[in-house]
Amino acid sequence: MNLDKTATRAHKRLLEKVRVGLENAEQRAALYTGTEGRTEGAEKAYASIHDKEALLSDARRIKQEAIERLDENLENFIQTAESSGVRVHVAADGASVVQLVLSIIREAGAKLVVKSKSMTGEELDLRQHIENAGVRVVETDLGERIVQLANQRPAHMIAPAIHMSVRQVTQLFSKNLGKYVPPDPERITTIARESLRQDFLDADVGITGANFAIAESGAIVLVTNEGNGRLVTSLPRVTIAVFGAEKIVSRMQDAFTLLEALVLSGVGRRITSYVTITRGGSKLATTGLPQQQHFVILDNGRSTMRRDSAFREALYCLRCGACNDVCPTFRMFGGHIFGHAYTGPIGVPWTEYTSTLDDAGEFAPLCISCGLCQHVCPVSIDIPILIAKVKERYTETHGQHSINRTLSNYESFVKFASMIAPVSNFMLERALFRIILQKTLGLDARRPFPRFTRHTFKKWFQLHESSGSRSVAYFVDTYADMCEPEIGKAVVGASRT
Amino acid sequence: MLGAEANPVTSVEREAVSKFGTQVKSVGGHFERIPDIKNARTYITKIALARNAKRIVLTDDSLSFEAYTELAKNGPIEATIYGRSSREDFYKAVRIAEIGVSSVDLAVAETGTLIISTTDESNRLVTALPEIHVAIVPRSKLVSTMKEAAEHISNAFRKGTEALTVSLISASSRTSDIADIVILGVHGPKELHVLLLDQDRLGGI
Repeated sequence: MNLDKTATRAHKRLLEKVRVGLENAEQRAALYTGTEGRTEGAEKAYASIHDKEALLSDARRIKQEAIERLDENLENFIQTAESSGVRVHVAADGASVVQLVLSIIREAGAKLVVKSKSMTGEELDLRQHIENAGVRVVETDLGERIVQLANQRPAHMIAPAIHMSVRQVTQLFSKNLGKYVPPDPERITTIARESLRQDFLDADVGITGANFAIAESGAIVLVTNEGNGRLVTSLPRVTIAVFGAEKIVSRMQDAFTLLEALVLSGVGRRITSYVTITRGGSKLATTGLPQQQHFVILDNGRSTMRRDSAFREALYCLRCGACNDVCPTFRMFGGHIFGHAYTGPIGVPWTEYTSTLDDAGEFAPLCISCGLCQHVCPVSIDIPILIAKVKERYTETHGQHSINRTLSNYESFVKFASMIAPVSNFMLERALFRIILQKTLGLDARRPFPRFTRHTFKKWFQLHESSGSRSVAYFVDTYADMCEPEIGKAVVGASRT
Repeated sequence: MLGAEANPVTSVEREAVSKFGTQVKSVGGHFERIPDIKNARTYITKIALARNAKRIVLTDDSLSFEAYTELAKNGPIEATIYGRSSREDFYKAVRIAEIGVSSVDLAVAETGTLIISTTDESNRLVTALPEIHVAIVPRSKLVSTMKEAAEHISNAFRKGTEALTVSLISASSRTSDIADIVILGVHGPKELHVLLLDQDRLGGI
């Protein structure tokens, strides 16, 4: 019962977030435009290439192979990267990454860190940890900068500020810069460019993630449209790339195949404006000395995920965000409600392994099992099944929230309602009674309820049973029996003809 | 480092050039064919005057150097080429220049992509900091597919163990992070100009 209470509390928190989300018309409008536009963009882009099926099956095969050969690839990657001068670190969990990164920053005597967008960074709350250590951090991806100014997490894997209107973004920049900013995306971008340019030039350390890492080359691949990734890796004295071990592929060609799938699904183009493949520290423009480059390779739950035969394929995720865009409940609420650090459908299994089952189980109920996410996933991850498994584990360890428990015993409840049908129908139409049900059972007062009848199908069938040469088994459900017996009668009629 | 072999002009090559131009223009880039490196000077001077640009920085590759000597002959624009000035002066110039000029190691017809390898960030910044990037692409550096390019890049990384950065540039800097509206020039170049040089140039950089 205590378990059930935990689940009930979590469910109440979710319902409250849902209520707030539904009332936020400005956010809903922004989310709808953003997600719809992105889904359509990807569809159009795929329609323009002739070998979609071949590309996507290659992409899945490459990730499958990369995860199978992860240990070997990791070893090769470390060796090739180190021989070109990269300092490679392997970290078991988030806390060790934070310690590593902080010690690199301290050693560099850094006062300012510039960052490009990284989901792994979000997973570790890396920015907050560095800021807590007293070092200024500036996010340089425009969307990520916007959510940093708003003191929020990204609401989407690819488009962090997808939930915000032009009005809200204008207010944020205006407040941050302490001056008038016109409500015009072009002008806001120009203003952001000027302030971020100075930060790039002043920064001591640059932090990135990696979209791919290539074992044979010892290099990482950064995919951006804005070009902030290029400046984060070229101007500071020290650069740090933090990424999960699942990003390592065997060959350069593998990365190019995955790149094509990522960009088509993620931004609806053949290729982004910029792709940077880099290893070792090139000569710095300021001094001519080699830049200090660190790669921090993270496990944080990934090995456990890899050992689980069902969840292993979650590691194939390219972080294109297509499952976020297509999901009907995500479109309504965005990643702050439907997500933790990792947002949307694929965020559910990723949250369980990289954060906690508590965090994953809280937003997992937003999945309505429609299956669209698997359909658009470029590497065909069976996301709905993974979410169902997370829900199952959550229920096993946290119990059922009260409304689910009640409804799972609904048969006795419905039998009684049918027995006293005129009374129960009368009661269920009374607003006050529905409010009482909402308060006691958690059954939403706005949810339409079926009408009950005393003249059940089973009673009717006792009088109309007949025998013939062949027999039909009919499993009559509660609704057809006690609410709409005409359905049951029609089934009998149809089987007799 | 990278580099496709020079071939005589074939119909495949002609098709590649036309596809390349179409792709560059399809994402808002400017595309121009020039018969001789001298024409690069005319082109760059023209856009510099039109944009009221005062400073140009160039990478240290041989084609950029040819363009530089043309530009340096006469003209109202101050040109700084990497390797011909002190590191300090070049760093100062690259931060304030309005136009950056580079050659490429490879270009990909099917996606309109420029591929540039660097081992010194001064050269990379020429294509990353100024608002306008002009790339000079010798026809012989053009390959048809990204798959071919990936093979060249893979080899370049395999050849040695030194530090290496390979940049793929397929359009100017863009964002759609505010209300899904596309804006050009958020961090790097707002404009990308591709000059296809109809001459064979052998060898890599």
